[in-house]
Amino acid sequence: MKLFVIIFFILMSELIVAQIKPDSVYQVEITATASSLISFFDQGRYPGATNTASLGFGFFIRGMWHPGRLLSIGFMTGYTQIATDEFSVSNLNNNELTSASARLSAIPIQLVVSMQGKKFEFGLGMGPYMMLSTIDYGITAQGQRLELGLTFFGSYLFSLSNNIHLGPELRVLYLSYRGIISIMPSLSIRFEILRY
Amino acid sequence: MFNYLIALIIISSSFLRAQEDINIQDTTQTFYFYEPYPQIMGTSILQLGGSFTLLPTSVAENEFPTPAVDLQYKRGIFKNISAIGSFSTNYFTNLLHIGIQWNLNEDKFSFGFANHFGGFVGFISMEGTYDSNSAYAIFYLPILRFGYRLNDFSISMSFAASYIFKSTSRVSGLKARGPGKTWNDIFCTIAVEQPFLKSTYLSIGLSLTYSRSPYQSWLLFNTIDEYLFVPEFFFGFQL
Repeated sequence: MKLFVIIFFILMSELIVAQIKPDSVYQVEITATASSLISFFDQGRYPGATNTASLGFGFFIRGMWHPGRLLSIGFMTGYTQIATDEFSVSNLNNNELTSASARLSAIPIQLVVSMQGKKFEFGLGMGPYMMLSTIDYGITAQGQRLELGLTFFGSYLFSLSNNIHLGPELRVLYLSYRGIISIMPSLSIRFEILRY
Repeated sequence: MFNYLIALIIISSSFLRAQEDINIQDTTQTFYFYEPYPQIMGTSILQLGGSFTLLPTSVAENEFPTPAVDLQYKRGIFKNISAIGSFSTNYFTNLLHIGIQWNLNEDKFSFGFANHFGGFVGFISMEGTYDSNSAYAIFYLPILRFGYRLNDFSISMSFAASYIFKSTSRVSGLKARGPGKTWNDIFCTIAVEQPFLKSTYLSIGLSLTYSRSPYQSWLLFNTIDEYLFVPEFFFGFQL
């Protein structure tokens, strides 16, 4: 009997060792991020523009598959309003000034890779942004175009519960075609929706 | 006595397994492709992956990521010396270079210097425009590599430049000399390498190139004689 008790404890200890192996837990995580952002333009946003910075806001959501190690991969989307401008346009016929407005927004459709420690996460989103531009000048003209971009992010998350984490996240968006860099000091919340 | 023998075997197997776990987690036994940590003689790494290169808009007019399949091999041939081969292809554009790399480490920091020689060959036939297009180049590629190994992953950075000995392009029988006896590219590569899934190792990174004549855009007949920025994202799985 003693022998069986000893063997039982040894086998139990083996099971416990198996349980705590880090590569045995796979997770699916959803992280949402929202805040205002400041964007810097390499070139003037409209003819006559003198300011190169603009204020906007953004909301991002990413779903990540995190298979036990540091690395996770996933997909990111969302919506960000990069710039809104009010300006005046001179009419060629009578030189009268007419007010006009322009808005530039972007929807990311990106593949994401990130590395996670216990609290930190650093990642990179790669792929296109659907750029949406609207110009209102008596009539409204809209345009859309896919442009490639990079989204760098780093966050430090505090645990609210076993499955919910909250914390600050800094993200930098880079849109090379238009020469735009956006900086977004934001707040992120992560839900671990599946663990297996 | 028999019972105690069984107990001894079970306990021993437990220790053996513990020893195995230690070996698996011994990071000095893990070797990565981009990190210049000295390899043990006779060990080799075969890595298969892909890359996406964003061609300069001044040449391609639109943002166009050029895909390629990458096959890489590294083998420890002597103490602190590795032999390296790299092949990249998307069928129309092919790049092969091989070299010898000297590796050194001080604790977790590693340093490497490599001398590579290689060639580029491109060919395509387009009906309705030009019957056949081809190009080739022969080059020398010195690479400085730096690596830092953490518990679960490694970070490495390398700086390289390519010197073209000779390059030529042909369009339907017309032959034109390309850049020759000149430094054509300088580039910096940042790679993160780590285990992924249970026992697979993955390299991911960015390569930032300044090139007077990016080989990936040979088909676009670049006439801009200035250094162009060519970013590339790559990944590779150890086989």
